[in-house]
Amino acid sequence: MLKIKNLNVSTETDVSILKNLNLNVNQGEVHAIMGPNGSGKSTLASVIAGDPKYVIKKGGVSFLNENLINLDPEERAAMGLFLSFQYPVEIPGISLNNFIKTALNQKQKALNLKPLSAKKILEKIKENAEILKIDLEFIKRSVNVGFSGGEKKRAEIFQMLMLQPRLSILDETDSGLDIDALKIVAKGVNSLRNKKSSFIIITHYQRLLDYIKPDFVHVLSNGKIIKSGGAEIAKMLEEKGYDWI
Amino acid sequence: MIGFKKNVKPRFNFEKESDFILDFLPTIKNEDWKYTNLKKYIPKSISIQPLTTKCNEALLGSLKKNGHEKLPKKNVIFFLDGVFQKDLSDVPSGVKIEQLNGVENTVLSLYLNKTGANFNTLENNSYLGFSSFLKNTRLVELNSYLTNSPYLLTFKKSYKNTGRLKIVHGFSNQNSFFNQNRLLFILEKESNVLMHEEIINFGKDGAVFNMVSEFVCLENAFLDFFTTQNDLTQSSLINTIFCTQQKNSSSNFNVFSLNGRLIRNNILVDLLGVESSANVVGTSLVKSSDHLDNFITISHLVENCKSNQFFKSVYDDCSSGSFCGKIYVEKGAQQTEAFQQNNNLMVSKAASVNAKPQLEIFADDVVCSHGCTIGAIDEDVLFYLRSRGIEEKEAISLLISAFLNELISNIENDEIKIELSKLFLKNIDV
Repeated sequence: MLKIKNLNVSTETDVSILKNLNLNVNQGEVHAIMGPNGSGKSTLASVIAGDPKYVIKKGGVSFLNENLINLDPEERAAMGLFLSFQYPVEIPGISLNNFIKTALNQKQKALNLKPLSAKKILEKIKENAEILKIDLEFIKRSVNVGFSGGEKKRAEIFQMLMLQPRLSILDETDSGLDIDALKIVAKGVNSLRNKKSSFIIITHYQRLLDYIKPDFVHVLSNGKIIKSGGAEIAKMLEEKGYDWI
Repeated sequence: MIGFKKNVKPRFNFEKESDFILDFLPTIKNEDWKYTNLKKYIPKSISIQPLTTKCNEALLGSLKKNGHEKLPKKNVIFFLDGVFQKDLSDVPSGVKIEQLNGVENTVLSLYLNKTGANFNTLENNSYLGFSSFLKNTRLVELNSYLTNSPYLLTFKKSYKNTGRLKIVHGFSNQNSFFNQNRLLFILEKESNVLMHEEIINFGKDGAVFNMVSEFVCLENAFLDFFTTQNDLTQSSLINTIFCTQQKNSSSNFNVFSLNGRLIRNNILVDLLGVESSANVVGTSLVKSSDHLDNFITISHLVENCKSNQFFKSVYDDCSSGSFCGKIYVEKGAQQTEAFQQNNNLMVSKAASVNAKPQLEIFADDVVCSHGCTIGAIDEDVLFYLRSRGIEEKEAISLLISAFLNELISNIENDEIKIELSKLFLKNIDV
């Protein structure tokens, strides 16, 4: 589904971040990426989503057999890619409700489908709000403005459930969440997982992986994947730290 | 200083009227006009709107027959070329409208002093022109000379609107005219007024509108004034509002600017009575090579008054603009609360804006603040929207409308709120 081959990425100021990175994600798989601060985890997530801030020097990224490199972020989203941001931005003046409606209908448009009816959207909103225990009043607020850390992350997962992506990248969605919120977020992810969606989960903690069982765990360090394996790697890291590798 | 006297003709001797007008106007050497070169926006072919009380009958006939989208049937006061049109107006009870022209002994040259000591002498119409004490007067003087007729609108004691009152200024503009319009509003004690002003240019050519409105808010009066500035004929508008406020009165000036070759708003409020408050806000979307200049001064002359200035503008294409907002606090005007905020969103690299916040404070027990931002669309926010599948163009439109909507969403009157929000949405065109 997602194939990353020899990916080399730099910033606009030519600081090299990712070096010869390789990763394959198949349908229905959950990959966890762990690694010390500054190893390039968020950069990888942003590059897959199409952030124009990064320069791809070498290598390629393909999604559903299509080269992603020259596609705009909105085109990638229409193909079914989703990024849950580590630091979701605040957008004053646009309600979460309005935002999600626009996003859904833009996706419909990109796929040459008819816009969804307001009734249908409302039904989906109610259904997903129920899963994430979100109050409907919350959806009327401006996107992320004045949201607590936990609310921001929950709003990200809510958007994910609304958009039903085929591949979701969760960039430290668990950071700053309490146990209850973590369980709710995991419930959201698992509800989508049942529908054969794939996930890349970037995290620092084993804790989230107790609730969302990964098929693979990769350790990213200094722009490269230095170790890959099953869920047991995460447990070892939790116990011994990165020096262990 | 030239006073307001109808029968005194200017003694200048110019070959063309346009020479006279251009020579008389302030230049960029005048500090208050530093960022707006008026001469650039006044057509060379301009001539002074003829002084007449007779209006374009054909136009009036057609308006009576066909109506106009901006002219509702109820609650409307309509002026054509500065002359009140009774047949096309519906003046609510409690509002008196009088022509001040021809009243020989109108003590128009009697300017009140800044403390407003003679405020109760309503009968001699001594209000008109008093604000000329303030700076910025050349265009006001020109208006005093050249206006067809000034009108006095009095809102009776304890008057209260049911819905908004529309004030519509129509101009026939057979040629490129320099139009003058002069109104004086007196809000008597305890009156509560909701007004919405609009201009209609019936001519094809770009004209210049020099509008002067003076407001006198007496004790406990409440004014909610809206003006929509949206002229599609490449006309220029110089809109001057003077407002003086007595004890415990409140005023809200809401300026919405969209299209117009040049829009200059001079809004000068004097808080003369204790516990009075003024709120002057504006939202604008400036496009093509249009120029917008908001020039605001709020003077706190006595203690315990509040004021707020908040202007938000979006500049696109190669438009330009300026915001100059001043808070003046007189010595002794203690316990003043005065705020000012100006946010500018630059959508195009060719657009420019000058912002000049000014505070002059001579009292020592006050709360005053000012803030000003000029910025482009945040790339991170744009990426966030795009990563959710929203096309770049749509995302930019959405961000512009969100920026502009902040003040519009605060409007209490639903009719005006919906109308303005639709109008802005229609005009966002990335």
